[in-house]
Amino acid sequence: MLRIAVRTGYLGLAMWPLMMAALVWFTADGVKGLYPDDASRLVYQATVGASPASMAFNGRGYNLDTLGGITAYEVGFFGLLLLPIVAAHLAIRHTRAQEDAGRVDLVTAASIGRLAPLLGAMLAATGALLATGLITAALLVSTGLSVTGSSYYALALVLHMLVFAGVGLLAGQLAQTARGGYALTFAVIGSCYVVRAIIDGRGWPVTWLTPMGWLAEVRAFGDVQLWPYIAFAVLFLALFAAALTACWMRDLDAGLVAPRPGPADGSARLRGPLGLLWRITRGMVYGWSAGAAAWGFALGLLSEETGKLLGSNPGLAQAFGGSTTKPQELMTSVAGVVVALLACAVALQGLVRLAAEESSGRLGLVLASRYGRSRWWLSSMGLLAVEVLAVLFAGGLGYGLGAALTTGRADQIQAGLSAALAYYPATLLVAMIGGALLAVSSLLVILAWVLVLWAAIVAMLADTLQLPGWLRNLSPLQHTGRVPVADLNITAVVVMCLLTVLLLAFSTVWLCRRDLAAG
Amino acid sequence: MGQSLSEWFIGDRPAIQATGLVKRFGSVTALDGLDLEVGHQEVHGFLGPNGAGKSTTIRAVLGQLRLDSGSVRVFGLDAWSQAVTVHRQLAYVPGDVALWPSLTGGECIDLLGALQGQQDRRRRDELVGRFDLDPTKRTRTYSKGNRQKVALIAALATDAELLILDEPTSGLDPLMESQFQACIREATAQGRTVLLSSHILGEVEALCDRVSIVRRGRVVRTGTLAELREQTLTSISFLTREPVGTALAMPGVTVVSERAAPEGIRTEARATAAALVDAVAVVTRLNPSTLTVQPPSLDEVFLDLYRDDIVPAQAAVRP
Repeated sequence: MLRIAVRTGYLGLAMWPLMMAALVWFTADGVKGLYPDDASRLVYQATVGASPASMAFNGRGYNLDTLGGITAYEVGFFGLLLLPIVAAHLAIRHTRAQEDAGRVDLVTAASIGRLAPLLGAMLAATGALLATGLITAALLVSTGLSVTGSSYYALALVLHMLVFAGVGLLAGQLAQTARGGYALTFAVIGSCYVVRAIIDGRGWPVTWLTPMGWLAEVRAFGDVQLWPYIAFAVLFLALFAAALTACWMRDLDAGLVAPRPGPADGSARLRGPLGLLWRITRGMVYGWSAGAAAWGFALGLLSEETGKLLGSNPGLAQAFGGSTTKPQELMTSVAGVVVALLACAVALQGLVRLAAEESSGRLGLVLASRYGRSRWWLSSMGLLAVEVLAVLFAGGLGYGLGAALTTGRADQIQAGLSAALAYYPATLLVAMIGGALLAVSSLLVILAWVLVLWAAIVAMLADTLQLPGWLRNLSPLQHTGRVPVADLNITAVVVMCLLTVLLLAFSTVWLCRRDLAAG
Repeated sequence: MGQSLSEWFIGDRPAIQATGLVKRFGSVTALDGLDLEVGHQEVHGFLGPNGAGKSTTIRAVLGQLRLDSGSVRVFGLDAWSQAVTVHRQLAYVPGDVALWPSLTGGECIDLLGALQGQQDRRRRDELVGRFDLDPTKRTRTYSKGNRQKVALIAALATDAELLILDEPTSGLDPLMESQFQACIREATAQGRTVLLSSHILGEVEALCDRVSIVRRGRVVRTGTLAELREQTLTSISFLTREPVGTALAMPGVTVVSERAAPEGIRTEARATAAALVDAVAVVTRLNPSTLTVQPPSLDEVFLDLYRDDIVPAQAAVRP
């Protein structure tokens, strides 16, 4: 089984670990270049290292006067989310996704035990993660970090990923499909992240509450603590044992929770293209709205402390792209961009669903009816526009409530909402660019993710990367104006609305003229 | 709207009239001047091997493809530009039925019925029973046959004048197959028109009034089953004491084999429709102890037409 996993998934098994190791290495290398001497590191420790907002993002920082400490802190920025997601993906990719594709029944029908596929997947994932650890440690040593520190740190990274691989394995057994498994795992990762972000941001002494908090507590580049290692290992073994038990108890192709029979008749709301589209996207909208609201709320809770810190630290405020005069507003505008990015992701995920409708042939079935293409397209786009608005609203409201709760100022709710909703035209434009690509060919819609990724890079890292203005301007979000720090750029908003309408018209005409991909 | 349309096309107007269809996908020519006519209230069999262009033709009829040339008219309306009006009067079952995994079978049936717009609630429930479908299951748990049942029930439960069925029974068991045939007979009794694309020749033989055979993007033969048979040889088999000798040496007749059997000599011959009566007259004068005259089955018609394809393919393999 291990051989099959390795043979069929070797690209993923090799690529993801290499990418992760490379990211850690780039971070270490960047840190070395940015903070070459003690003085610069002490400044870092006093500014970035003391900011509740960066602790919320990065996790706790320890030994920030050393290169290793700063590296670990900076890796936390992407690693706390990205590494668990990759690990869980490896786990699900080799278990539930295989079963969905109908390959597991072929294999277990042969003289192979029912637990073997799960063991094989666990070994493959563990092997890949250990390789990640070894490569990471070697690369860290090559940048000049101590061998002991690098090894401890790499081991912690591996164990941290293993725990979430364990979550993925268990979720893959509990859910009935790979998609269900992913949803369950991402929900766990997301909740861990938000809980940890609040704990670390507010400085509560309960950082042991989530496994993500344990990663920083190993303090690999100072006085190493052993308890997080033990905790990681115990949790992984427990999760794996639970996955094995679930695998033993359930039927093939079923989840542990037996599927309930659904309604025998279609409801009155499932009568047309609009009802159908809402039905297949509503889970996504609920999930993203809840995520945006939770994340906004967490940021909102931190807004006052971060605001105070920014107010007293001009250098840091500049790094966040603002000045010290309106620290609270600066935080609000950051929350607005983050929520807008989430809304873009929702729009694109919706478009990908539409593309799947076409490529599966389901769209052909829908359109062989009294509904024409233009009607289907316009109602789909209309629904997506409403769904995007819902996510922006949820995120803005979440932030506003969080901020209002800590500051005691009710006007924060309105500030949060307007900061998020200001991005509505820009988000719609991003969505419609994706829509136009979809109208040309359902294969092209994936390209729109590049735009969203770029918008995220511009919004988060433009100043760090010293991007030139024209590159920043490629992101539609950039033109909105950072409400409430700056005023809404009315001209840009009008232009973006016009472009959106133009693209909508273009896509409608184009879609009505081309062949359907399948049907 | 539906009413006036159905009144309007009653008459001899063909349900589907496709002329000179050409469709290229890149360098591949899927349709190469295909003509198809499906008459009012007939069951029209649409036969051909994989990749011959059956599904492409159906997609053109549904207005999903822009043709490079040629035109498709359904009930006299253009299949591309008046697609929505046309679709009010038809129901479609795709060859590879994809459904929404999170919906139940029942929800899918009602959704498809609502999209088409003329679902007969009573017939829908009756069909669910006849096809033995559990409508409360999510479609992701359905087998191919069950997904096909969902699309079939949805189509048959509508009052659509035209049913377009693309290999609708390829996943059904024999019991369901006979149920399907019964349903199609009821549909024709109600005066509906059916375009039935199929691989299963027995099914086409049992159901269809007329047949079109497609090959490499063209219709190579079209007509009633009797007409098609006429164009193919009838087999004559008989047992005589003496060898036939030169008695059957007439135009349109070929002796395929002569074998010694315990009670005499068994002769197999083939005759064209024109020579058949004369050939049988000659044989009866030989006083045969048994005589079998068998019209060609659709399989033979079909294989006859494709023999050309098979032979060059084998020849091409040789160096």
